[in-house]
Amino acid sequence: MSNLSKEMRISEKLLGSDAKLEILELFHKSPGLIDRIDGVSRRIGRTPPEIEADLKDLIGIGVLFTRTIGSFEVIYFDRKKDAEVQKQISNLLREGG
Amino acid sequence: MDRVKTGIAELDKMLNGGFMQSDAVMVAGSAGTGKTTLALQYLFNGATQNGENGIYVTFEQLPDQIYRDAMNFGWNLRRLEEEDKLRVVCTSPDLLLEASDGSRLLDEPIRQVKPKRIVIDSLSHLSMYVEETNLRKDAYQLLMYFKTKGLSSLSIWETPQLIGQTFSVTDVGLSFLVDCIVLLRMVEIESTMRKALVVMKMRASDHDRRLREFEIESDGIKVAGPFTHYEGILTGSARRSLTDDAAKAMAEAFGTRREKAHE
Repeated sequence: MSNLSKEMRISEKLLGSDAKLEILELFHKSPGLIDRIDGVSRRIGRTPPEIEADLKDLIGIGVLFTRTIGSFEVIYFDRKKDAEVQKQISNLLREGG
Repeated sequence: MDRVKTGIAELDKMLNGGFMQSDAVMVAGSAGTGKTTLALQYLFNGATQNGENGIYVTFEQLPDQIYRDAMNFGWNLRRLEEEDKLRVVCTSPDLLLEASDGSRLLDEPIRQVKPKRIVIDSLSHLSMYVEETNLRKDAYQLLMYFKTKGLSSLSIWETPQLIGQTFSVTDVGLSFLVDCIVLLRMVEIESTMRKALVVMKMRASDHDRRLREFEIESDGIKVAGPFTHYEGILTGSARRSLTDDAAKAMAEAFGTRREKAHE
């Protein structure tokens, strides 16, 4: 039960906004993308304030993570965590019928 | 000493077995000469034939074209990434150079794939983000970082299409920072555009100094024989070698006279 709730929360977060899907699509196409928030937003034709909350959600789920490089906070994609989350969602969809 | 093989048989022969380990190599050439193809082939062959994983760093907005172009040669980069043998890193030049607290952007992918080879596509793109006075210092620090990580680096440098008797590979003094320079050129020979390759510099190693013709075929770069009957190839407009023709004419004349003497 608690597992299912967790998966539902994750899927709600992932599917909650267009920007989030655009960010995910960007990182699926370019899993080796490493950039700042302004670079990520530019690559999907948006501004940093538009995607800030969505990035935080994705970092919270673990699909993205950050590192501080010099004076910059840089965003990375975690392929293994992404595969894990995708598996959880597909299980949820199967169980949900 | 073990060499870093490109996997392009004739080029490896020209390099006396391959590049030297941990060397900084520059592949210079104008647009369309095959620099990116050579770089991708170097990484793909390293990962699939030599067990040497690699990182490809690009400053493109989206690297889709790199995956697609590689696939056209049968090099499935996405599969290599899934197997943790390769990373196609897409980033900004200023981030790649950032190292103020000792950590670098590439530390993470280097930890993940434990690479032996790295490609920077391109150093000339990077130069657009750095003041000319800082470029040599920044490029030097980056190349030294690769060396300390035990990486054999291959940096791409885009040259303008140069026509003329003399030229330098880069006009910002980067040539002396690298250990090896491979120059790719388009040349016009008898009204046909052909491709030429030459190893212009290779520190501490003997190498083939002849200009060689190469082609980009369905499975990558193939290096052919030297341009033995032409001169002035690096000017972009080669002409038949007069000395060869003269030697041939003399040999024929001499042979004819000798045959007459024997009659």
